[in-house]
Amino acid sequence: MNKNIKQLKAHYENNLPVAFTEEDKQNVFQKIKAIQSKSKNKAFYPKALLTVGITAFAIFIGFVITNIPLQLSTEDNAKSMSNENEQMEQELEKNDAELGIMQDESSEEKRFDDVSNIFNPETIQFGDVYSGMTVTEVQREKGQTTILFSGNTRLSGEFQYRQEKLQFNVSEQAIPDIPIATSDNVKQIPLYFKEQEKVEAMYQMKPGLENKERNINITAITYFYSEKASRIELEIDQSE
Amino acid sequence: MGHSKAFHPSYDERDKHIMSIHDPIEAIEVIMNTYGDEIKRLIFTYLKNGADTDDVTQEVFVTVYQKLHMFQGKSTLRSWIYAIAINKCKDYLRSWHYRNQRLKEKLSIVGEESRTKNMETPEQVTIQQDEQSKLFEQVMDLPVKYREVIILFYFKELATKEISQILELNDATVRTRLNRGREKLKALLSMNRGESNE
Repeated sequence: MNKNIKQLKAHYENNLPVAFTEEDKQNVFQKIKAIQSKSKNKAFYPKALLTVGITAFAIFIGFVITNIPLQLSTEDNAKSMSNENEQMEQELEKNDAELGIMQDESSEEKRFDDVSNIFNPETIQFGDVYSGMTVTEVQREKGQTTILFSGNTRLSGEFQYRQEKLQFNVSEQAIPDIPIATSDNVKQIPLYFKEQEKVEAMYQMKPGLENKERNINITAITYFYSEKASRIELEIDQSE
Repeated sequence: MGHSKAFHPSYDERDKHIMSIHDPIEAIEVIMNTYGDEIKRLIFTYLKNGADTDDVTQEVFVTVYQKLHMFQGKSTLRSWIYAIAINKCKDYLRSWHYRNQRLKEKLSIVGEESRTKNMETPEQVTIQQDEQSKLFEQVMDLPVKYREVIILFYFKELATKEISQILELNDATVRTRLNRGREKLKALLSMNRGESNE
């Protein structure tokens, strides 16, 4: 049977009615072009909306300012002025409040994006993206799943030595920047470095100097998931 | 059993050449020229349909173009592209569009078969199919999990370790599936021979 199947290789290569044609190639190029122009459009729309918003706001402020002198020329100058000032302040407060809402919304949106750092170790697969990092390798073994996330991210936190092993304790605001399994808590998982010596040399780190907030640039995260105890290894950007 | 061929070095010369190309469009063209045919054949073995194979193959190369900068050389470029292609195929096989299409095909085949069943004699069938074609058809009719390991092992000549990386399975699981796949083929063939001898 083994020999019979081996002999099928030629049959497989010669008789399957498929070949990658020039037409296929051109279609791939067209799809790439379409994706590129889409991403350009995406980048253009927020900028255009921001420009329109700022222009509208400037026109409104201009309109309010030019109306003040007209009001000043009326009989009850002082009264109208104070009224107008009040009105203007109210308008400005209203605008500030609206702006505040917008800021809240945008920070909310950002927070929502950041929340997408939680992954399911049973279903995670190549190409998935968490915390802006892409899954480039998944290895499932008995009792442990090893996931490699690749991409660039900046983490803030403190170095700490535990039994001569250098760890990184991430700050609260950096938690969403680390992919985390559904059943894990990032605060309870030790974050080690793949090349401790290089990190120590780069950040001039040795025991006793660790309690200081630092920002480090990461190029890959290896997540060793296990139901008992997960751990994470960080790969640092050495081009800094 | 098993191939004498050694497990690929993780970053061979061909990969180095491709990864040294700075223009991504030029790089994807070289990749398509190098791997286009074999990736398309691999995809066909999953989808068994020319039109779907065209679409998915093109999608695979678009994805390769988008993610090429993330390739770190921890496997060969070929294995990396295989993994993308296989994931795309499985996504497609799971999609509503594909399942719906299959259902429609099955319904029309049932009608078609009832009309043509009595028209073909066993002799005609024998003339149309030689032993190899029959065996190949049996491979293509295997469930995906057995079919994919047989194709990657025998036709693509990948080592079980490399297959386990591409399919994200244990080496032992790959070997078990290979054995079961072979057994299933054997059983199907002997069943067919028995039928044709009757």
